[in-house]
Amino acid sequence: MSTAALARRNPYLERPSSSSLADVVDLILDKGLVIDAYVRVSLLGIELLTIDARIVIASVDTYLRFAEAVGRLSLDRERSQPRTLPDLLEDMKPATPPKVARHVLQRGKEAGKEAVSKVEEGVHKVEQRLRGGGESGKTEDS
Amino acid sequence: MIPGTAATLSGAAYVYGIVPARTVLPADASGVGEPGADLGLVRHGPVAAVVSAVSADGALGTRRDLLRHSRLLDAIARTTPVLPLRFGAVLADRRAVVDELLAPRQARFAAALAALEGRAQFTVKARYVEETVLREVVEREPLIAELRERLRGQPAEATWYERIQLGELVAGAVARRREADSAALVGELGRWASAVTWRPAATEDGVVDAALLVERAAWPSLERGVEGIAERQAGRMRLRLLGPLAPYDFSNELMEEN
Amino acid sequence: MGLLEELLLLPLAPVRGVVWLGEQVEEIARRQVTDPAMIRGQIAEIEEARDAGELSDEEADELEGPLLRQLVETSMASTSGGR
Repeated sequence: MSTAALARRNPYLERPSSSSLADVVDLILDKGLVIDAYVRVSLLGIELLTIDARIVIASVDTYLRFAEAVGRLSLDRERSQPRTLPDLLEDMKPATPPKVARHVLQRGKEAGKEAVSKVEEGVHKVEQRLRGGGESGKTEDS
Repeated sequence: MIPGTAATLSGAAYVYGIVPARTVLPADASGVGEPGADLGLVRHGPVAAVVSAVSADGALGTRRDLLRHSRLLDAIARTTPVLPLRFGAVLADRRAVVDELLAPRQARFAAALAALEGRAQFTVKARYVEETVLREVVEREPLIAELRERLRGQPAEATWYERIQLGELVAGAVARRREADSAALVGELGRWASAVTWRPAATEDGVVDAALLVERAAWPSLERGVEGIAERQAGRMRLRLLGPLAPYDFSNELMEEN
Repeated sequence: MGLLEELLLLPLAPVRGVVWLGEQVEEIARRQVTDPAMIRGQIAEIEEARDAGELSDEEADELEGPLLRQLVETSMASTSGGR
């Protein structure tokens, strides 16, 4: 069910006609009555996310991101056309996880190794940083 | 199976929630599993469990299962009090539903349902328009503005630690704003609610997630009120309103009270 | 929290010098991968892509499967019910 970003009556409030899947998992997996009497439901035979599956999300450091975002703000009296929210969100987002995940699904182990090497790359940069040299600490978006 | 009639269960029962025994289930809902099972009630005195048959080795947890579970409960909640169970409650058989679930808690279930009569949950999720809040922070915190100015135009490599420091200050300022905005928002929302519970939003740009228990007579005022808040905060916060929902955020506490 | 950020906040992490990483990286990454808020965010993006037609139903289901499984698993484990 798509989430209606604009309600017909009021364009300011997101008012979906029913809860999205993301809403739902929060409501029924994290909340609601827990009764200790029940039998454990058997779960689908889908692989759990594990570190071995190497779906590692190499995310950009939050502080660096904030610093960058703040640095990009234009505070002049005559502001240039404010960038749209989607533009800002695109810039500020770390590597979009679904793209990473799709990468892994399509290429299997190969992509998994790539994800791991991105983490190792990031780690290497941390080490370089701390020794006082090296390039920008920002890990590459995938 | 005609909805509302006693469930004809021969095996394991998936339980969605607890309702008054007199409840009539929505006609068009289907249960979890493939194919979607028929829904029915297992009654015991004044209370009943909403159930559907599941095969003992059936695996659950698809997107479809999760959506059916929640949509059934929310449809019931529009007209009838319901205590929603967390996803995944399966009991061995009809006997177990009565003996292990309903009978030991009959009085407490009845009392909790009575407290929910005529009420449903609404959830408000607020998130920042990040650029606006960052702008506020820079304009109102001299230290941040100063450090930002000092770093302007400097090469990234030479100023890595200063940028971390700036980011840390910004993160702290945003966190303080978040606390203040959360308190203000929850305070406003409480005007229409019998009960309210909230937690900081889980995402970085989040403000607060608030759950409200609202009497039916107040639903229109709540909607209008939240629309008003969203309009006032336009450009600064984005609000999302869900409901009427089953009282997911309140059911445990209602059971503990009784 | 970002991976880099977590590394810097490790106990005994020196301001300068080498940070011994090893298992720490794996632990942090594991926590990130299983963080429910993070997973919910990923699910939201997949659903948006599904609605917008950018992902087919099959593709979206395939991506979501392990995510939902992880959330359900965590939910079951935390209820400490189940017998």
